[in-house]
Amino acid sequence: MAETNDLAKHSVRDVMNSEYVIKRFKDVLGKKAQGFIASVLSVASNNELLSKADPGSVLNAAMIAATLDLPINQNLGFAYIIPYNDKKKGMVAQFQMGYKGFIQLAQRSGQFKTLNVTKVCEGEIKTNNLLTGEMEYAWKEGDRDKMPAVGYVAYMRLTNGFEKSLYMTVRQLKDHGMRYSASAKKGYGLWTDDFDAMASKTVIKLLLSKYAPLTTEMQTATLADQAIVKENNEFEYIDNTKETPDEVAEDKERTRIVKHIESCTTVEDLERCKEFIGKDDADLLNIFTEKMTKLKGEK
Amino acid sequence: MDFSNYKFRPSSLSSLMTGTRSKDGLSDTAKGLIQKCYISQMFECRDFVQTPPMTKGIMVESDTLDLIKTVYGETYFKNKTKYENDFIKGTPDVVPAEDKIIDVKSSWTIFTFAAVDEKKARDDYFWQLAGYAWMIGKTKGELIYGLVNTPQEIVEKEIMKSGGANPTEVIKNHTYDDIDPKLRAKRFLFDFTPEDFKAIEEKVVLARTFMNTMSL
Repeated sequence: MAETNDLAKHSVRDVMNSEYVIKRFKDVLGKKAQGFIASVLSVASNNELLSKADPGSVLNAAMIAATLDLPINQNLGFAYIIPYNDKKKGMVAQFQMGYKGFIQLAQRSGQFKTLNVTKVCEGEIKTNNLLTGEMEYAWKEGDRDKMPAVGYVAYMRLTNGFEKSLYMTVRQLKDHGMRYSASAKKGYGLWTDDFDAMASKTVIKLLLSKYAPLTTEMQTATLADQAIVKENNEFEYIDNTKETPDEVAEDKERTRIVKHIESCTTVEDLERCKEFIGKDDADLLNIFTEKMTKLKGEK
Repeated sequence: MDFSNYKFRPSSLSSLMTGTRSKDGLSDTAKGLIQKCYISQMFECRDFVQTPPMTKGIMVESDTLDLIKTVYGETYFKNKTKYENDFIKGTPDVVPAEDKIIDVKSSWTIFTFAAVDEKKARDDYFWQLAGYAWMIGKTKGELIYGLVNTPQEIVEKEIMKSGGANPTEVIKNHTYDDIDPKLRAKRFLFDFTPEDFKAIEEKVVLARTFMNTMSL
């Protein structure tokens, strides 16, 4: 299996364990290659959808993480490989930066004295200078994890003394997610499951891309974030490509069917939508079957 | 290419069935339609036009089905099955269990919605619905018009088109949440006879004959 265009025929495990791929990772990571490959395989084997994704896209996403020397480890939160079900391409892997990954790259550049991000809770904004864009905060004591956020702020101070912060409200961040992520629009994915992480990453990424001196690694990280990495290191932003009117219509009708299933109180009512569920829509079939089992159990 | 078995789409029947006194039994409108079908078959190029009202119609069909549920208490899902007989082929919007097919029209604005009455509905869509009913073996066709919000991306384009002069007006002209849903839906039921279906069949035969004589 020397040629990467054969990858689709193999499993993620086969591809990552092939001699050709191990050599590529060794060229980039040296002794760390084997551990890195093991971590990618562990992520893939713990995620059924990712294990079914196009192995080439998994390999390319992993290679970007390797190039940036960021481990793929859920617990560390530096970088992620996420499955994405594309209507045209099928299941593919998408590279995603974590906000800790951006901080890690900034630290390595040696140009940052401080780079941090935090949520802002209600009543913590003391002053807001609309002219300079500077805000003052009165941080609350206590268990802030339990306090609801009204916004997120990222702050950086460079070694040359330049400092800047960027604040976004929760509303602005949600709009950002809806605008740039198709999965957020449909109510699933990281924007729904881990809003805190996505909000933190967004403010830090925007702060860096607007005001920071970007190293090559930082530029690559910014560009590769949320992209499918192609063979020639081109990036395709599949999660925020515009849907055609037909695709919008299909998504809306699917959402209607989900709502119908959720609202059904009788088996007869539920049966009405059965023939409209696409045969290849396993998720929707599961929702239907679960509801049917529940209704029959109640009977 | 032989067009003796060519199948027309029910959506093109309104043009095909327009009245005429010409000897070949086909109006100029019908001949224009046949020419488009001929070109698309011979040269594989479609005269593709998708206007903003058409785009809205595609994007909001599910919203209109929701409106129908709210107003009439009837739950329908969008049909995906393609039907055909020896003369026509197509995909009706809704195929309920009853003896009827349903076609859903989502109006562009409140003005186009208000302009629809029984006569206009019949003039514009009687033959399309008859075609669907004929393919599926039903005898009635129901046309339901709904007025729902225009999707934001289309409204944004309309604002751009208007030069951005009156964005509030454009948005208002495409947002109908504040109007009672009962006022935003209307329905028309048509009965079809075997003579209607026979008329379609005869017209398709004439159109096929004409198509076989065509060239650029």
